[in-house]
Amino acid sequence: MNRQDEMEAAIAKALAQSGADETEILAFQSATALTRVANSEIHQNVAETNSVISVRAIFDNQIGTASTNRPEVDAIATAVKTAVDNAKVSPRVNDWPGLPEFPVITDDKRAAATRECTPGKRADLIHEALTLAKNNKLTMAGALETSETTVFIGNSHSGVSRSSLTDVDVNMVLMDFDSSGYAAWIGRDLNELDMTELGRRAAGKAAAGRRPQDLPPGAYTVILEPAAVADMLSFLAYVGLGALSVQEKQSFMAGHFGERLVDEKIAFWDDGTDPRTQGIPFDYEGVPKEKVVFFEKGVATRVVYDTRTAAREGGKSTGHALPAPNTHGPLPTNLFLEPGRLKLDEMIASTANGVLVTRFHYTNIEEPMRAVLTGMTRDGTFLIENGAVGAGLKNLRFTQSILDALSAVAAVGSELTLVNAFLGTCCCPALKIDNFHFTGISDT
Amino acid sequence: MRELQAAVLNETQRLGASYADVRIVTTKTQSIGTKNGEVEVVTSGDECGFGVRVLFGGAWGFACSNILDMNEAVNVARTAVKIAQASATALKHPVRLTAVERGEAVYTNDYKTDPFSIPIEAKISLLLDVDKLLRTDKKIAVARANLYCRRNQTYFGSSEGSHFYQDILETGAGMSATAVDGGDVERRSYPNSMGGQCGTRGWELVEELNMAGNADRVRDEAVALLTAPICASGRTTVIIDGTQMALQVHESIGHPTELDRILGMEASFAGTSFVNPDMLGKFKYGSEIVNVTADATIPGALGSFGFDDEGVPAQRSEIITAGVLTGVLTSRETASSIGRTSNGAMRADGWNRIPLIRMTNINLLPGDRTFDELVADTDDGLYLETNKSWSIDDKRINFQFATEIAWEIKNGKLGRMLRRPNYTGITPQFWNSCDAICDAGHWTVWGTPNCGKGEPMQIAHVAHGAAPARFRDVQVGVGR
Repeated sequence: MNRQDEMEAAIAKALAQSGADETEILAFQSATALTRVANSEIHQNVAETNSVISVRAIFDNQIGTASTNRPEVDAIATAVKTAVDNAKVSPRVNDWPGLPEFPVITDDKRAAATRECTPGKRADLIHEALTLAKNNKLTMAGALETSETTVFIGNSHSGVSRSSLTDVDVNMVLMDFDSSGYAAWIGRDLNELDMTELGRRAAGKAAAGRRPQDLPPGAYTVILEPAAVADMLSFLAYVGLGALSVQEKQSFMAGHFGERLVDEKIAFWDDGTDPRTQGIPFDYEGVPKEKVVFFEKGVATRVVYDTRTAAREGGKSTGHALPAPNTHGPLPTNLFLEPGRLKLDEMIASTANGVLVTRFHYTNIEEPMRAVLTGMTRDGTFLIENGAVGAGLKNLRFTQSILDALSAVAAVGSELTLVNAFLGTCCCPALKIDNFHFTGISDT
Repeated sequence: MRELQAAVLNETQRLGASYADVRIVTTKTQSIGTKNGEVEVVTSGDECGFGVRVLFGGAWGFACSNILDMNEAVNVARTAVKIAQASATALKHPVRLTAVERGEAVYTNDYKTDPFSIPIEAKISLLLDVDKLLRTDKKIAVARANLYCRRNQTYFGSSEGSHFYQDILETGAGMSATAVDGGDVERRSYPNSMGGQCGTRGWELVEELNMAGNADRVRDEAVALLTAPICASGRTTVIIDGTQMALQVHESIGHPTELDRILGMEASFAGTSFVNPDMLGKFKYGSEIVNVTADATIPGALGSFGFDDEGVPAQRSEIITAGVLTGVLTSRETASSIGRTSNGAMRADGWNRIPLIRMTNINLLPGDRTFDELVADTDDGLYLETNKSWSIDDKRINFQFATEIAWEIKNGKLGRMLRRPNYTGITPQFWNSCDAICDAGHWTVWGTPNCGKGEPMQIAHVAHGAAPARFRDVQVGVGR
């Protein structure tokens, strides 16, 4: 038996011996390694092996949970007993629909190159970018992470599903004394990673951004590159695209289904089954993930559900449950924005005056009902003049309703990029948006 | 535990590591939350593991595992050395650690009542009583009350011969009411947002909060906000309450004075800092009444401990003295770059993370005014309470915060309630505009249990002593 088989057997045994009316066990087995660079040297370099086992027990509509990181059979049994004990002292809930029955899925999307990556291989890849940084007289900071994870979910009504995957996550910032450039990549297979290409992109931005200028606050046409778009869309999903926020009337979608809330060029959905994204084929209740469309031609259509929020409306889960216990309700974690027709260069060429944004930093929500966010630009903000990228700009603060921004979309980019976002991943193109509000500037 | 530590340290020494430390950490947690008359969360957690940090050829390596046995100890030690050897291939400045006194010690924080000893039923009952009070107005769509307790036990051993055991108990609690009417949503929280107050204390922290005694006000303010005028845009005087001041200190003093950020070690992720080492002893960070300390010795505060995670004893050190930058947060690795020794700020988020420079308790020291005096002395301005949103740039200089509520100040008196207040500023300009701070009677150390930093991400439990303070000529109502 390998580690995965041992865990699956331990979960099955614990479920059989639980004694609760219903029991759910969610487990993660992971091996992760991350090499971190600052000041053009490796300054942190770590590896972790861990398991996390979470149990949800239901006893006469009383619910309790418990967790452990010890994978032994006895430890899992103890966690089950603790969850049952917690359930027995908890008052009954009124609308518990029961744990879902789900089809057992076994899924394996691991790439050998990622699984077998050594500290030496990570260092070799880092050296590729360091060499490029040195040749361009820039300083490098960044991180290269490789991981292998197996997710298990089982409950009293079904068997145990499991999904194994590998991930590669790279980010880098190349810096001069007054400018910086960012590039990042995520994928499953380390063999697909091109560190030199990433380095070239970051170096190009750092070089072009030297001697940054001030830009007065105001409303501008912006072209947001995919990292910035993904940040914006991810927060939009967080504040309003889960069923619980709609049911509690705290979402901009509540009462507005069937209405056009954003520009008709916007088609926005979640689809964990699309091979272009990363993730597992079922949610953290075991329910297979479905594609859910939020906006079609700008019209609000639907949000995502887990078992309990779906039952409140007489429906079925869309496969978007988070691990129990959670207070957010269901959330989408595999976002997609439909591409348009213009390449980034063509979007820039079509812009007389504007601002090109590489990515945002420290975005946060000010007003959930209008999806008003604030945050800063960083690592590559440029003036666009007469259809060309011009001077670098000092970092700008935006305070902007994302619904308003998506209502002022002038063009949608044609090239999709998979981005590691605030909420899972987002596969999206660049966007050109009019009347985007910058409200401040950084002094440095 | 000693045997496992010895196995690790012997193996790393055999393989040629110049330094190694091993931390074995066990963490026990319990979290309970209620929402709208039901229990939303009753959960217990148990976690354990060990992490090995080594220096080989002047470069760092770290490996860790959740399997606590001797074979795994040796394997993890070997992995840590291999990783350090790989790090050494891209090394420009070999790590040198400043000296620390070798020793053996035990630290346990003081508390009156172990929160784990309180029956879960009693905890649920307390929260449901609060929940019921919060929901007596139909416009309250969501009422929440929550509490948590955590015990963290760390066994530290190093190749320099230091061994310590640290046992820290935490408790926290809070509540919130969210009012909804049409398309408007407003929330009030007590005693703080983001989960409430927390500290290295026992059940007495929950009892002292008197959540039930504050529920009526929290509910009524949330409902009243629905029809309050929106805070207008302009420049004005603001008095900021202690809870928001805590976050203001956190974001615009705590993070920018972390020496790893200053030296560029977080450049690609959390960012760097507008502060540089040359500013020490010279830079006028704030007005003369601004005095800030890093003090991990405050009894009961969330950022207090006996030793940091590289074995340096907890300390009190000055960060800003009479408005001038006098100190930064350091580690054994970074302190030598500014000619100092570590002030004990290396902290790890559990067994599976390396220690990073983290805040401890970063405190804005109290001034000499009462709150009533401060308001009476303000002709025109706003009183801002309870954080709602926070954002600051990667150099920690341009910030913007929103609070849950504001009150107009006119002719020395608190007036109308205003909703959706926010304010923005530039860090040194803002702190230099501080012209009054309330006295020790208004000063509280507020726990901040959600400070994120590092890759892989680490969440630190830190705190900030703060009292209400006044700032002049501040931009409010951004985006209106």
